[in-house]
Amino acid sequence: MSTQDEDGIAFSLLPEHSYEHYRLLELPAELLGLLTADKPPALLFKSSDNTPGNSSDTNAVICSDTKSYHVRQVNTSNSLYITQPKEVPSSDHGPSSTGVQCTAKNDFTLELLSITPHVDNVKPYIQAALPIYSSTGHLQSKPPVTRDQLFADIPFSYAECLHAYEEMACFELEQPHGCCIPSGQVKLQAWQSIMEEAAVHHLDLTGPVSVTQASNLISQANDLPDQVVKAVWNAMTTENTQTQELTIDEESCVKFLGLSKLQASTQEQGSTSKSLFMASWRDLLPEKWRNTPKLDILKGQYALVNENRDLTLAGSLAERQQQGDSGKAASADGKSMLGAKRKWHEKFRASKKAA
Amino acid sequence: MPAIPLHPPAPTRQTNLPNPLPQLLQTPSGLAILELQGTVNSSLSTTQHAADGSIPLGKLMFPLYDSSKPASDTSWHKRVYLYVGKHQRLTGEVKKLPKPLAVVRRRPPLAEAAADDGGEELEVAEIVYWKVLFAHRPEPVGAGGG
Repeated sequence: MSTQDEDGIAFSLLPEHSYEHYRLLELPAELLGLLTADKPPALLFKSSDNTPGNSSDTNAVICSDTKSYHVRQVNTSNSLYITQPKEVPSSDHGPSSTGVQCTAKNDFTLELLSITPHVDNVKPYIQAALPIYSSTGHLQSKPPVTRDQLFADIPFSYAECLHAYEEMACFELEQPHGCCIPSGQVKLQAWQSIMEEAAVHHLDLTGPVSVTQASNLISQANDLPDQVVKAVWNAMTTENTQTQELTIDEESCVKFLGLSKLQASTQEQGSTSKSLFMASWRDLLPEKWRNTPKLDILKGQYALVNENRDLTLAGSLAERQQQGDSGKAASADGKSMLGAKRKWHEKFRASKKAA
Repeated sequence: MPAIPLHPPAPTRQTNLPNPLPQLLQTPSGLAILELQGTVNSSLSTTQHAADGSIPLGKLMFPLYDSSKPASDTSWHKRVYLYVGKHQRLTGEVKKLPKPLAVVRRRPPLAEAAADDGGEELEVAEIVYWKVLFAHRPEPVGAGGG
C-alpha cells in the first residue's frame, strides 16, 4: 500500500471564523425533479410571523409554484463539512497540486415535509389580512394590500393561495387600491345580478356559457364593482380548455351560495333558523338544482345551536356560547364546580393568592 | 420581507481547478460533503497556518479506488482514509445520501441587480448526492504510513 506522503489528497480546513455560510437542505424527490429540470424554477422561502390562531408557531415553508413544504431543523450528531477543491502550493517549488479544503461546517440539516394541500388551511391567512367589503361599500380599516403582497405573506405556494383567494371570491379594487373579501350579502347580490341578467337573455346557467355571454353576465351589476361579480363568477365556474366555454360547477355553486347565505343571514343575530335557511338556499339556485342543497355540503362550515334548530357559522361567537353553555351543564352534572367557572377573575383567583 | 426567492443552481457553475476527488464525488461546482464524528480541534497557532490561513490537516485517500474501473464498481466505497497529522487515521466510507442535499447559500449580489430592491436572495449552490462518512474514532498509526 502506498504511504500517505506519496499519495492522497491534501486535506485542509479553514479556521472557524472564515467559514462560509451554507445551509443543507434535504430535497424530496419532487423538488429534486424541479431543480434538476431543464429550466428549473426558483423556489420561495416563506414564513409567517402572525399565524392566525397560533401566535407562538412561527413556521417557515419552502414553496414551489404549486406545493409547499414545512422546513424543520434536524440536528446531526456528526459534523457535516462542505469541501471544495483547493490549490496546494508544492513544498519543493514543483508544480502545485490540488487538494481539498473544508470551507464550512454544519451541525444540522433542514428537512422538508410536504404539506397536504387544503384550501381551508390558507383561508384564515386571507381572512386575517384582508378587509371585508360589505354591501354599503364600506371597508373595514385594515392596511390595503395588493394581491402579490398578500400572497407573499401567506406561507403557502402561489397556486394554493390563488385557489383559496378565488374560492373566497376575493377581488382587487382600484380605488382605494387593495384586495378585499366580499361579505356574504355582497356575494349574494352579485349572484342575483348574474341570475337576473341570465333571465333577461334566456340563458340557462346550468349549461355551458360562451366567453362573450359570460362577460355580458358579469358586467351588468348596477351598484357593485365589476370585480366582485367577476370574482363570484370565477369562484364557481370552470373553463373547458377545448371549447373555451365556461360552465358553472354545480357543486361549487351550491356550496358557494350556501356559505354566502349562511354568512349573510347569521351576520346580524349570530344564528339563523335551519328550515328558513334551507328554503332560502334553494331559492337562490337555478330551477334545475333546487334539490341539490344538503346541509352536508357545508360540512365543517356550520354549527348547530339551540337544540339543532338553528344554524351558525363554525367558529362564530354564537357557537362558542353554545359550547360554553353545554360545557356548564355537563360539569354541573358531574358536580365539578371548578369546570363550570368560566369567568376570568375566578379562574385567576388561585394564582393571585399565591403571588 | 417574508418571501425570499431560492434560486436553482446556476447551469454554468464550475470549478477552475481539477477535482482531485473520485468521479462519483465530483459536482460541477466542486462542492462535496464530508461527515465526521465530532469536530476538528486545532492547537496550531495562526502562524503555523498555511499562507491562505487554512489549517493543514492531513491527507484524504481512497485506497481501493481505481479510476479505470467502471462507475458501477462500488467496492472502493467501503474504504476511505483521512490521515490527521502524522499519527492518526480515520477510516470511513462513501455513502449515498438518503435524500440529496441542496447546498444553499446567500446569493452573491449581481452587478445589474444591485440597484434592485436589495432584498435578500438565496440560491442552491449545488446538489450533492454522496458523502464521505467517518463515523469512527481516529486510530493511531506509525509515521511510516498505513
